[in-house]
Parts: sequence; C-alpha cells; structure tokens
Amino acid sequence: MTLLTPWALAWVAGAAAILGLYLLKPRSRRVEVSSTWLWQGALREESARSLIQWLKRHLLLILQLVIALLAMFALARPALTREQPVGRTLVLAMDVSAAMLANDGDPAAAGRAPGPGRFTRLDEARARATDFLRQELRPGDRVIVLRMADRAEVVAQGTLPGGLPQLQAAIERLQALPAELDMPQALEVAGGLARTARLGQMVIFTGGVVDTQNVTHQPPVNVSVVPVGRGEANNQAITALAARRNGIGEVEVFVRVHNFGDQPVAGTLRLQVDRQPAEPQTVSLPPQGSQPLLLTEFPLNTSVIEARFEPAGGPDLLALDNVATEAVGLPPLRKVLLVGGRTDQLERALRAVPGVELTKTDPQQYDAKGGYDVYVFEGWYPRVPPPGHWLLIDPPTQGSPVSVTGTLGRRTDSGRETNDAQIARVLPSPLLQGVDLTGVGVQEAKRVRLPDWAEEVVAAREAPLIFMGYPRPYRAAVFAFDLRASNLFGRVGFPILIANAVNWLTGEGATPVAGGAAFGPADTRFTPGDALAIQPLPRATRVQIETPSKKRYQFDGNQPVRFVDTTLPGPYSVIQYAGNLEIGRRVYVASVLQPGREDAVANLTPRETVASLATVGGPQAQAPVVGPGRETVFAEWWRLLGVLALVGLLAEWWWAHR
Amino acid sequence: MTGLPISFSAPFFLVLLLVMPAFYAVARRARGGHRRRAWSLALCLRLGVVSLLILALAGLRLPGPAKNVATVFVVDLSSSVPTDVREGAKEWVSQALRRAGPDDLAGIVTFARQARVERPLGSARDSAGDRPWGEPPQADGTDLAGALRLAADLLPAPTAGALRRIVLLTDGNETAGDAQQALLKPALRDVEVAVLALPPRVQDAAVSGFVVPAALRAGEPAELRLALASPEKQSGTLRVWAQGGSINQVVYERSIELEAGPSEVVVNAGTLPQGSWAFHAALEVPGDSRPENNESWAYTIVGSAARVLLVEGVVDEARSVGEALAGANIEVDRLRPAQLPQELERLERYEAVVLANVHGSDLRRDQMQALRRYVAEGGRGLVVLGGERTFGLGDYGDTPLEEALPVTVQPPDREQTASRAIVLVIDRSGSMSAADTGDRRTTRMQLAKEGAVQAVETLQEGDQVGIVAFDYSPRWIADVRTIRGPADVRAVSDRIATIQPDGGTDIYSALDYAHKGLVQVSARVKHIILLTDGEQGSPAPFVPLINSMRRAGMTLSTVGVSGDIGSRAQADMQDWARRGQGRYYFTNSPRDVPRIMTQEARLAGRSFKQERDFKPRLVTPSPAVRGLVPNDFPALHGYVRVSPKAGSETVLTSDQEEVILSEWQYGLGRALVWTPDAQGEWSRDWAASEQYARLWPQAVRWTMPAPDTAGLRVAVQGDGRRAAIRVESFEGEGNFRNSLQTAADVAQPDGTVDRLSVPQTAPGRYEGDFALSRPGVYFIRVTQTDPYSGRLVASRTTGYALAHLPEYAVNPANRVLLERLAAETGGPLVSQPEESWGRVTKQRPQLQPVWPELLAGALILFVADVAVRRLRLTRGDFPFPLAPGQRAQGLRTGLGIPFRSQDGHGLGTTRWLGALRATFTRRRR
Repeated sequence: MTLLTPWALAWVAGAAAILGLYLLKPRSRRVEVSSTWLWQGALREESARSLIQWLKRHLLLILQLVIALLAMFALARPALTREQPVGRTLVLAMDVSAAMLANDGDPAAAGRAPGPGRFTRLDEARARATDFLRQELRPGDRVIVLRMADRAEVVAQGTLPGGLPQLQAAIERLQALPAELDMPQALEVAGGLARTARLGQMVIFTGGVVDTQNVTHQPPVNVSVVPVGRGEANNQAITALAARRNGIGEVEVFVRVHNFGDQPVAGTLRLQVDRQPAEPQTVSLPPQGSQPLLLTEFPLNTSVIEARFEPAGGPDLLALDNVATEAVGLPPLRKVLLVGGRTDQLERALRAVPGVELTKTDPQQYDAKGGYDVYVFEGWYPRVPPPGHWLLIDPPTQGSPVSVTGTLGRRTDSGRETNDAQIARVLPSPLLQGVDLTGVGVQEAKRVRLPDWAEEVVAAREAPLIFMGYPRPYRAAVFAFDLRASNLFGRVGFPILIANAVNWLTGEGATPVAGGAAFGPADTRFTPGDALAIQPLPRATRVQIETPSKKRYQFDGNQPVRFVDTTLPGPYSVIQYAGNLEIGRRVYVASVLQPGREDAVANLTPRETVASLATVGGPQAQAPVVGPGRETVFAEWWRLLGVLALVGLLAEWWWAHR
Repeated sequence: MTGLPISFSAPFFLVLLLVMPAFYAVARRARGGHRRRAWSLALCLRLGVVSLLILALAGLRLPGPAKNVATVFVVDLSSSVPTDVREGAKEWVSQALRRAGPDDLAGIVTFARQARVERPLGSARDSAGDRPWGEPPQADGTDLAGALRLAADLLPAPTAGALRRIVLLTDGNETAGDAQQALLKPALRDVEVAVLALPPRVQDAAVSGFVVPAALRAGEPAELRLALASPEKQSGTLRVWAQGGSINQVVYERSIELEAGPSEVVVNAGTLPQGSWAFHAALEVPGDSRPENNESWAYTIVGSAARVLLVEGVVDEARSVGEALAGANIEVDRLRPAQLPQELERLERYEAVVLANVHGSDLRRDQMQALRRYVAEGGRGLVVLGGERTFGLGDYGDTPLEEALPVTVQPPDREQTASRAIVLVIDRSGSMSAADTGDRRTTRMQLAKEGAVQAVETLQEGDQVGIVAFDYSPRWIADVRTIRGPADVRAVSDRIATIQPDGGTDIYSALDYAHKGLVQVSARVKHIILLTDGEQGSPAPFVPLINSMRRAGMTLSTVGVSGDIGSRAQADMQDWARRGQGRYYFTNSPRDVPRIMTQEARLAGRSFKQERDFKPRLVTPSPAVRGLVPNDFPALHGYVRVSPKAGSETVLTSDQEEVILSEWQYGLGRALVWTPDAQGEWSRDWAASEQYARLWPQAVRWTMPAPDTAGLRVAVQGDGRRAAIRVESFEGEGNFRNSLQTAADVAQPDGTVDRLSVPQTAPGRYEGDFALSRPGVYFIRVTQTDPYSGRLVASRTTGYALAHLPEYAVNPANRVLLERLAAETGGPLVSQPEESWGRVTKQRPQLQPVWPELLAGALILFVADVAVRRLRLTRGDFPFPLAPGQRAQGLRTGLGIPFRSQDGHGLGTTRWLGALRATFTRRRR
C-alpha cells in the first residue's frame, strides 16, 4: 500500500485538537435535583478524572478520534499497489464519419439477426467491435476506443476484464458525425497511443469511404482493418448546389444530382426557396452518372434555397447527402463616411462597393458621434479615434494614430536618382485578392513605423506602404501615401483594392471579382460543428442567430461573436440590429458536403486502398515491445475510509445522544 | 450562455443523504438535556459534516481553476526554420518538460508538411528523459493548421479538468491550411495556444519574385522583372532562359552586385514569336545556404499582333506615328474622320484608336459617343494627338470625346481672373430671316439672338460686352459696357432683341468697326466673335486687319451658320479664326448656335496654345515612357493647353508644368493624350528622334486591353502540391454560359500533356484541379464546347508558374499570425520553458474534482462539532459582540477567559492569548 498524498497526514492535527478538547476542564453542567441524595450521581463524573480511566470509559472520544483519523487517511489517498500482467494494448479505431450512416450494414456478419429496421455500417461496426472485445481479447489486454472522423478522439480506455462493461458502453454510445474521415490524422493519433505501449496494435473498423492517398506515414504498430458494410454503391447525392446572381441581378441556381450506383435511377428534385416549395424537377440518372440542372426565375430577394432529392425507388444508401442548402449572398448595408476625399476616384471606388452607402464630409464637418461602420480619412485623422473601423490614407504627420517619422520618395544619391518609396514587398493578404500590383509605382509616401497591431501588406524597402490590423476594438487599414502620389488610380485593381479593404474591415469575405480572379474560400459555407465567427458591424447593438432548428440566440453586438451551437447542418441566419432596426442579414450554411469534395462522402463504394493500410502478417508488420510484461497498478480506497467515517459519525452521534 | 453545471463522478453515493434524518432523529431524542441554541448549533455542524462527506464520496466536481496542465508542444521542423533553431526548440521543450509539476501532462507534436505525434500525452515528468526525437516530417512545407488539429486531438477532454494548452514553437510562415480558421474547429475550443516565435532562415539569397506580363501581343517586347534578395552585399551571376516551342535561349547572363536586402533586375527579353513562353531564372551565389529558392519560373503567352485605327484630321499628319506603330508589329488601318465607324462592333475590331489632329467638328456626335463607349465599356484604348485642330482649339469641349479624355479642354486656371471684353459681331442680313432650322418655325436671326443672349448671360461680373450688328454697314446695338449685375445683362439682352434682319453682308467693315471700338476698351483679354450666314461679297484685306487685331491683343473666333456659306468662305473663316488665335465653328444645324456662342463666351480670351521652345519634363514614370531618357528628350515647340482631370496621371509636362502627356483609366479602358502635334511644327524634333519611335508603340500598347478571349476567364491557384483551375464563362452583360463541356489540357514542365475534365460547379463556373509535379511552368488550355453540337464555344490558354515551393521563400517570422493565435485563444507569448505550465488562464473554468477540499472541510467541521458539544460554548464565550449593539457585559467567558479587564478596557491580543493559556492551565488542574 502507498499513500499518494502523504503530506495529508498532517491532518492528524484534527485528532490532536479533539484530544486537546478533552484535556480541558469541561464547563460544569447546571443540574437541578430534588434531593441532595442525588448529588452522588451528579458528582460521579468528577470521580472519573483520571486520564486513563477517562479514556477507557469514554467511547465517545475514541469514536471521535477514529473518525478524525479515518478522514486523515482518506485525504492521504491510500492506494493498494499490485503488479499485474500486461497484455496487448489495442486501439479500436471506430470510423464514425458521415458515410458510416449508409444503411448497408450486414447484420449476419455482425452475428445479429436481420431486423426490419435500417442497419447501418456504424451499427455493424459497433456490433463487430463489441464481439471483438468479448472474443478476441484476453485478461490484461488494455483497450483504447478511438472515435475517428475529421478528428480522432479517445472516448474510453480500460483493461480487461474489469473495464469491459465500460468499453462496451462507450462503443454502444458512438454516433456518426457529419464529417469526412481524416485517416492520416486518425492513424497518427492511434499510432501515438499504441507505439509506446507493450504489444501495441490497432484495429480499424471502417466502411472504407476514405482517401488514403495522404497516408504517407503508417504507425509503427500492427494494423488490421475490419471492413464493415456490404460495400454497396446504390447512393445518389446532390453533389453541387450553387446560386449566383447574373449580370442583371437575377438568381440562377445550378444543381447536380449524381448516381453512384450501377443501376439507372429516377427521382424528383424538390426545391424550397425561403421555405416556400418551388416546382419539383424530374431527374433521370444513368448508372455512375449525373444530371446537371440549371434553374432560374427565382424571386430577386431569394436568400436560402434547399434542394432535396427523392429517389423514385425508395430510400438510397445515405439520406444525408440527398439534401443540400445554399445561401444566396447579398452583402449587408455598410455605412461608410469619407472624410476629406481628395479625388473622385476614391469616392467612385467606395460607391462601387456592393452594399456600401457612402457619405462624404469635410474634416471641419466631421462628427465624432458615429453612426458609420467604416470611416475613411484622407490626410486627416480626428483627435478621438472614430467609433468604427477606419481606413486612413496618407497619415498626417501630427495627430496620426500611426507614428510618422519622415517621408519616402525620390532622392538623388551621389548623382544617382533613387526612389525609396517603391514597392519592395507584397505579402499575401485579403486586401490584395484579385489585385495585381505589377507596375504600380509610388512617388512619395510617409515613412511610418509599423504599429504593434498591424501586419504588412505592401512595403517599401524600409517602411510599410499598406498595412492592416486590429487596434482594438475596431479594425484598421492604412495606406501610407497620398493616392495621387501613386499610379494606383489608373489600375483596374484600384476599385478592387478599396472594395477588399471595406470588406475586410467589416468582416465580409473576399471581394468576388468578375471572372473569378478572387479565389478565396466560400465565405458562407462551413462544416457543421465548426464555430461561426461573426464580426458585427460597429453600429450593431445586438446580433441574433437562428439555427436550422429555429432556436434563437442573442448576442451583444459590440464584440465579435463566436457561435458554437452549429452541429446541425442547414442554414444559420445571422441578423444584426442597431436598436430594433435590422441593419444586416446574412445566411451561413453548415454543410457536410464541402465544395469540391462532395464525392468524399457521397461515394459510398469502399476504396480498395483501405485494405493496404493493414500490416498484420504483411512484410511491414512490426511488433514493438516496450517495457516489462508486468506493471504496477494503483487502486485507491479512500472512499472506503469515507464510508467508515460516515458510519462512525452516526455511531458517535447516537452514543453522544443516548 | 449558462455557466458550467456541477457533476458527480460517483453519483450513487448521494443515496447516503438519506441518513441525514437519522441524525436529526437521534439528536431530537436528547434535545431536552441541552440548551436549545447549543443543540441547534451542534446539529447543524453535524449535518454539515455528513453532507460534505457524502458529497466527497459522490465525487462532486465544480467549476474552478485547473489543478494540472496538459500541454502539447507543437514544434516546427520545416525547412524555413534553420537547423540550429530547430535543435534549440527541441532543447527548450526538454527543459520545459523537466520543470513540469507532478500532475502535469505533456505530449509533443512535430510538424512541417504534415504533423507527427512525437510523444503522446502522458506524465510530463516521464516525458522529460533524454529520449532521442523520432524521424522528422518532410520539411518542404508548413501545415500549421494540421499540427494544431493533431495536437488538440492528443489533449484530454475538457471534462478531465486539466488546463488544456498548446505551446507552439514556429516561425508562423504557413504554406498550407489556415491556422486561424483551424481555431474554429470544435477540437480547439477551450484550448489555449501559447506561442514562442522562432526566427526563420533569412540569411539566404533568393529569387523572391519573377514577374512577366501574362499575355503579350506579337511584337510587344517582353519585360521580365526579377526581385532578388540577399542577406549581404555580394556578387552573383544571374541567368535567364526563354523557352518556347523548340527554342530555348539565354536572354540574360550577367554578373550582378547584390545589395543587402531586396533588389530588382529588369531584363528585356525583346520581342518573342507568337506562342507560349516559359522563362527560367537562376541566381548563382557562392556558398548559399539554400539553393532551392535560387531558381524561379514565369510565363507569358504571345498572341497575335494588335490592330490600331489611326484617324488623321489632316492627311499624312501622323505618318511617322503610323510608321512607328507598324515598326513595332502593330497593324495600322488609317482612316479619315468621316470614315470612323459609329458602330461599336466595328470599332472593337481594333485594340486602340489614335486620333491625330482631328477637329471636333470633323466627328459626328454619334461617332464620339461610340468612341466613348469603346473605351468605357469595351475596355479599349484611345490616344489623342494634339495639333491646331484639337482640344480647346478643336471644339472638344462638352463632347463625349472630352468625357473620355484625361484632360479638360479648358486651359489651366491661371488666366481666369483676367479682365475680359467681348464683342459679338452678328450678321443681320436679310438671309438671316431664313427659317431653315429644325422646326422650320425659328429663323436664323432668332437663333443668333438667342445664342447672343445666352452668351451674355454666361459672362461674369466685371466682364465687358458689346454688340455689333451688321448688314452692308455695322452699328453698335449695345456699346461696350461692364457687366455689374443682372440689370446689365438684361439691358444688353433687351438691346439684342431689337436686331431685325435686313440688307446685305459686309463682314470686313463689321470686323473693322468692332476692332476700332474694342481698341478703346481697357481689358486684358479682348475677343471678337463673328457670327454670319453669308460671305464677303467683294475681296477685302482681312489678313492685315486680323494682324492688326492681334497686335492690339485681340482674338477672333468665327461662327458660320449653314445657309449660303460656300466651302471657300468656310475656308476663309477658318483661316481668320486661326490667324486670330480663336476657334472656328461651322454648323449645319443652326440650333447649335446658342451652344457655340456660350462656349465662345466662356472660352473667350483663353490662350489655347503655347508656342515656345522647351524640353518636356518627366513627372510620373509610366509604361508609356519606359526606357525613354528624360535628359535626352528633344525640344518641343508648342502644344495645346489643357487641364488635367482629377484622377488622371500626368506623365510629361511643359516647362510651365502644363500637360504634355497624360493618361488615365476610363471605365474599363484607358485613354492617353499628347498635347503637341504628331509630327508638325511643334514636335518636329521629336518626330526625328529615336525616342519618338519608341514612345508611340509603348504608349498605344499601354492603352490596349490585355489579350483576352471574350467571356472566358481562367484563374489558377496552387499551394505547391496541387493547382486549382476556376473557369468563369459568361456572355455579354454578365449572363452565365452554362452546361458547356469544359476540358483543360495541362502541359507539364517536362512536356507531357494531361487532359482533365473541368465540371460545372455553379452558374457560369467550372472547376478542376491537377497535381504539380515539380517547379516550372504549366501551360493550360481550356476549351468549352457545346455538348450537343460539338461546336467550340470558347477557348483560352493560360499558365501557372510554380517558382519554387512556398516553404523556400525568404520571409520574416509571421508574428502577427502568431500573436493573433495567442490572443484569440487567451494564450500567452512565452519565452521561458517554465511558462508552459502557468496556471493563470483566461479560459473558462472547467469542472474540477473537489473531494479533498470537501473531506478536509468535513474534518474541520467535525472538530468544531466536538468542540461545541464538549465546551458548551455560550454567547459570552466570544470576544466580540455577537449582535449589533450588544454590549459584552460578561467578564468571564465559558472558557473562563476575561473579555474585559477589571478597569473596563478591552484586552489586547497578546493579553487575550495569555489569558487563554491561563484558562487552559486552570482547566487541566
């Protein structure tokens, strides 16, 4: 036996205190008697003053001391140590990706009687893993249950036989996640868990819908693969759903339904436009083929489109991929104040940004009360920072929020003309999406020290020319030169640069450029479970988020929102309010099917390469043995002491009040 | 959001709470033998002891500060981190492990292109041994996001109660993934990311940029711009090859002196034949630490020759310009102004239009409108060359043509404030009663009067105006008078209204009459506007008269109004205006008269041209003048004065800082003006120089749009391993082209060609991707065909240059990203190894087991319980009042400790403790 926190024995002071109390003279109890004969009984206590007799005769003290000592020992965390044989360490890697919901699980292979309901690949995997625990493992084997989808997570671990119920329960609780399987990550985590253990081994229960090309590094332990499901391919899926506004603002919707099966399939595509049903479309799919549909004549204010494919012959393998949702992007209205615009071009570029309402004023007329989302200052900056995001062009030498230490520009150095305001570095930045700075020249710029809050976007040799950052609580971007001192105006990229700046400041995505030059991530689609990061407009006082289940959350509009209740696929409406006035609405879509990777989930045919992950018996089989065959285990029993103390308390209380 | 709930690890022990009534029942039985308060206090204490004990047994967990830290160290072993820094990072981690607490957990993840588990999560102290680190991951990439996700998977669940932390040791230069985006993943929720920024490898020479125009036209010289970086001043050798078809030639090979830091080398590869060209640059520097980034690649696609329309106001006026363009392999079609197409479709066969000394009246309004749209909507180029018939001298004011130009025809403002005297000389001959106007109801006379009235109304306060009407003889309708307010304007207008048509036409005597009258007037600017519909009946000495007017500082503009004016008379009037340094107008539409008159009144006296010898100055470097040597600029001898518009870029100025060459972006296209003439008197020296032959091809090419296939745009973006192709296909007005069969033929750097399908993914959008096998240029030809007819709808060739892997770029540490990762997760910026185990956190408190605290609390309460029962404390036992206002009267407590001294003063602490000791001593006895 050992004590895990031996310093807790200092609690013996408690027992000592009790003993001390008994060493004190107790206060005499006032007893009224009817006859002096009874004094004899009252004085009996006085006759037992001898310490030894007092201890012998007073069970109460003994009980109290025992209780205190029990508590002391419990706090010291006594633990029994014993050596036990160690068997294998097995990592049961359970595939819980979305494809495991395919209902071609084989009850017979799992030793289950066929039932009337759906039997998914995950059902089969659970059954097989449970059987494996019961039949294949020996006492002393340690088992780690790893849940793997887009991440790998240990959900239970235990040693047989004692830990069997807990392990079985953990396996039974496994649920599929709306995510792809990241096999390299799962192998890395499982390998890490198993490789330092004695006789590490890994057993993968998977439906095989996984890309193994990225598996460049197998774990240095034996791996065996248990395929689940019949491997059927009769699945249809909506592999593309995209809505865009054309040149005249009309909404066009592109849908592709794909048949991954070997038989032709017919069905109906039902659309809901902002929860209103639209005319259904008949779809005929050839084997291993798809049908694209282009749908038009939607209302101009359409915001959410949901498509649902219903196969005529009844449910297919996976229902999850028969539904898709798309949000039709429309940027929220951003109020922009241009203070002291020196040129028409800047004003025109700002007005051309979709969703921007521009107001122009002079520095003398500037009102610090706010009411705008973005403030654009040219050659001037107010004494008090504006109550919103700001874009500063040509920072003033005095009163600037950035430190101006001089100027950059043309110099004649030893008879040679140089220009230290020339662009020397261009860094990847959301401000430069779709902007080509080739040939852009800057004649003169302010020499500005890069603030701590900022990151460089474009820089001359010795100082930044354009930078952006978070001078809390708002965002800011700075152009360290007068736009007229550059040839930016003449560039096609100038309005895009300005639009990018406004969009970045207000937390919108990259500016979509005609022709698709901006190639940023789809800014309204995200994976279920990922947090939704919202940067409210500075005018916003409240942000409301409505989930697909119509649950509504309210947030303070004065700070960034990180919304985490996103496990449900579907549309999440984010509405910003200034007081009770709605000032912005955007719909984000949580989707299992990510653009360009729809096949990764919807094609349920097991990939042949999955079997190659297995190394058991193969030439690459490895069996590292680490450590002795026995190990010391601790079994804490403080709770037993606690229970005894409770019994003691009851006994002492009864004795004291008898 | 609600706070964390409590939880129990062994909730079934809560059943023991059922024994609580038993304690009450036992105590109640003996209640009579105790004082009520003592009994209640003892019962409460006992129930408290029992409650705490049962909650401890049930394993109560409450939100609270973490008792241990689980840290996963994420170590960047990518190539951008120098080897010694990597070793230093490993040592730092080892030191951190040695300083961990007994309950702290630690794991290690190493990463570069992929992340690897170096050590799984376990006891930090057990991990602290000197075990060698395992095989490092492939170093040619940095996937920071992947490493963070892997590290998060190693961490214990939030419910385990440990403070979950990742200590990130990296330079922050990620080449794949998005670390900030990864923070949104659920696995990284409530994980603190602490950051130690590693210094990246910067002591390295590299080709950091290689820029070539993506598309050129045949004959257009290829200018290659190479950005070089060097850690110190040193010598090197730079070679550049151009590869196209079977040609592979060195276009540059030279020893260069590299500056410390960035520098730029511009290589002129000359003109290249039509086709796809790859450029390969290699920088040789002795002893360079990393050769992978000393090479780079770029590409261009040389298309067919450009076509330009050259419109000459005067035949052969711009011959040298045409020859310069033709010499640069630009096809030139030459037309007269009247032949300029007014249909946009016909104009758009040309990439640019050059107008050389074209008078505004030579172009119809619909032609000008077409030119404006050609630039603004068609995205093409417009070049206007000056001369005596252009800009302010050529009636460009307020026309669609002027709208498209980077200048206004108004001369600079410096003469605006000069005093002006204007005399309107109006023909009132009988022919002016003709009603050949648009509506057949208004006579020429009425329009002339209307024009004159409007011209007078245009004048500003302080201007002087006089009206002369003439037939055979002239007379003052209104003497020259100063306009001081609306009353004066009305007075002159009333006088104009009295003019009636009658008689013949004697222009000479009218001009002479006005001249003599104006001589008497004191004004800096004196201007005569002649309006007539006829011609001089008999020869007259106009030239001496006009010379005399010029000597007297007068200028003359002439306005011919349809009717009986023959071509010879028109030529005469034009000559008079030229000699009089004014403007000549002729209109077949008398309705233009008011407009012309007001314009003349507005422009009156302005000097629209400068004739003087000067050398132009270079103000703004522009592609139009690239390679021209300012010191060698030939002299110019004159130009038309114009004013730059806001947003235009003045490239060359005169010695008086007036526009010589100006350019701007207008809508989708570009326009450029040259205010001297093309090759006449003003620019005769230029026309003879080599600079001139170089200037015009460059200037005209600058205005041209990039070669493009209408309606098909292709963007390619790579991450060093794969490249994604996005095709946007659309018709005019932005309508999408859908359901087209789209394919891309990708020519690899080794010459093999792979064909890949590019399926539609959205309205008008088609996407695909391909693997990047090695650095080099990948040429991509995208074709779109109609799936039913097989007809080719559109095609385009573009390229993608993989210069070198992004990992080999020379960049400073991305501190902003790292600081942001720390800030968004509440993590610290660490420097010392022991900071890896700091307990202070901004994270939400997690559920922590509190059974030891509960058990300790129970023990303390139990001692108190015994004390209460044993000592039988009363209220007077406490050395302080138990209730507000209560006076401590008792002199002795239950323990026998005096609360106050006999003199009634309170006892100090020392004395009180002494009294306590005495009491205990007394009791023992």
